[in-house]
Amino acid sequence: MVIYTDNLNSIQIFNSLSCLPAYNHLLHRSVDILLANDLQLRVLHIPGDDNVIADALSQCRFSSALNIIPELHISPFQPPRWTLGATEK
Amino acid sequence: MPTHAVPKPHSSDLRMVTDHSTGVHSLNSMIDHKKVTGFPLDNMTHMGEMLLAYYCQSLGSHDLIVWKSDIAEAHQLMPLHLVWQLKQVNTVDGLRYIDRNCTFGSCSSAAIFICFNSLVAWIAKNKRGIKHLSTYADDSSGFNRKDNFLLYEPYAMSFPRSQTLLLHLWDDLSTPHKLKKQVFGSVIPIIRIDVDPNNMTLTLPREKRVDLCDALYSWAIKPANGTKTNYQLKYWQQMGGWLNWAFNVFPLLRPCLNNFYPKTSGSHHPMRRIWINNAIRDDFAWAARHIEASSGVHLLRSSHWDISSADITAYCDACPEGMGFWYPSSNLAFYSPTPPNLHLSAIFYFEALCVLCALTDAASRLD
Repeated sequence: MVIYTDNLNSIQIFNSLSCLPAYNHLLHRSVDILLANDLQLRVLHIPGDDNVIADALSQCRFSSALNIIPELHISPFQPPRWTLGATEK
Repeated sequence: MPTHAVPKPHSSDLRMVTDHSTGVHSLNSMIDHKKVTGFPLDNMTHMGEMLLAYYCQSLGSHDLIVWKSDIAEAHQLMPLHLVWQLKQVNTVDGLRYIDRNCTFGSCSSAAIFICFNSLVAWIAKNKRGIKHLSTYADDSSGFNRKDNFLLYEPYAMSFPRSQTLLLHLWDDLSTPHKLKKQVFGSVIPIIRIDVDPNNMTLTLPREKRVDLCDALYSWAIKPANGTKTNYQLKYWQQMGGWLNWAFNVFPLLRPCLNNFYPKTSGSHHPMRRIWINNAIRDDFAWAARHIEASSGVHLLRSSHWDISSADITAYCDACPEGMGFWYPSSNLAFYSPTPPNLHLSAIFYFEALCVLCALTDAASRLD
C-alpha cells in the first residue's frame, strides 16, 4: 500500500518506525495492521499544492473536491476513540 | 587494572578477564565516550540488500552458498598507544605484565577493531574483487554460486571462491584465523541468525525467540507490591542491543524502543540506575506478543518496491479543523473533524493519525 501525504513528519515516522513517545501508539497500531494483513506500507511525499482533493476534504470544502472529481463519493469516518485521548494533555 | 578468573563456557577451564569499568579511576572512565561510539556494524539488512541486488541482476535463480569467516583473537591483535599500554598492567604473583594490545572489556575495543576490519573489507572489495562482503565485528560473510569453489591450500580444502580470496588477503596482512571458524553451507547462522540465500529467509530459531520473550516479559512485568523497578544503564544497553539484533528478523517491531531510548540519554556511567515506566512495559509486552505469534522467519524483500505495483494507493491530508483521505482507484473519499479547540501544535499528531486511519480503512476493505 502507498499513502501520500505532504507532512514530512508522518513520512519520517511511518517509514523509519521511530518517533517521539507521544506518537508511539499510532505506530503500534499500524504495525499490528501490517502484520495481521501481511501488508507492506510506503508513505511518500506529495507537495501540498498537488494534494488538492485530500486538502479540500480535510477542510470540509466538499464542493471544491466534487468540482474536480464529480464521481467522488464522500462519507464521514470516525478515528478510533483511543487515538483522541492523547491530544487532551 | 583488576583481574578475575571466570569459568569458560562448555568447559572446566578458567578464563582471565580484566575489569575496565570498576572504580573511580577505571580505564573506561578515562576514555572520551563520544570518540568510540557510533561505529556502525553491518547487519543483515546489508546482507539482504546484496542478495536482493544479486537476484535482480542474475535472471533466473542460481543455487547459492553462504559463507562466514572469523578472525582469530580479533580485538587482541590491535596495538595500543604506548601511553595507554602503561595503564594496562596485570600483576601476577608479584610480577608486572604489560598488555600491549587492545583487551576485551575496553569500551574502545569495538571501535578500534571496526576501523581496522572496515579497511580490510575495503581492500577485499576494491582490490581483491570480492563483490559480496558484509562484516560484523570479527565476522565477515558473503555468498557465491554453488559451483564456484576455489582451493585454499593451507587448509587443503576448497571454499566458496570469495572466502578463499578473503583468507588469502588475511594471510597477506598476517591476520590469524582457524579452520573451524571458516564456515559455509546452503544455510548457516550469521550473527546467530540462520541465513538461507536460496529461499531468501532470515530465521530466528525457536530457543532464541523464547529467550528474548522471557527477557522482554521480565522487563514488562509490574512488581506486585507496587515497588518500582530500575536497572543499571549497562543492562539497558544490553537490552537495546539485543532488540536491535532481533529487528533483523522482526523489522516491524522497532517501535518497541521508542519509549526506551529517551530514558537512556544522558550520563554514560554504566552503573547509573534508570527507572522503567509503564510505556516501556507496554512496548515490551507488545513486542513479546508479536514474537510469540511469529514463526521467526523473515522473508527478504525490497522495501523500495515499485510504487506503481501497489495494490492500494491513498492520499491523506490534515488541517487544524479536520482530516481527509481518498482512494483515486475507487473515488471513495472520507472526512472527519478534529476535536474542537485544538492547540495548533497538535496538527502533526493529526497528520500522522490520518495516515493510520487510511491504513486502517484500507485493511478493512481487503477481504
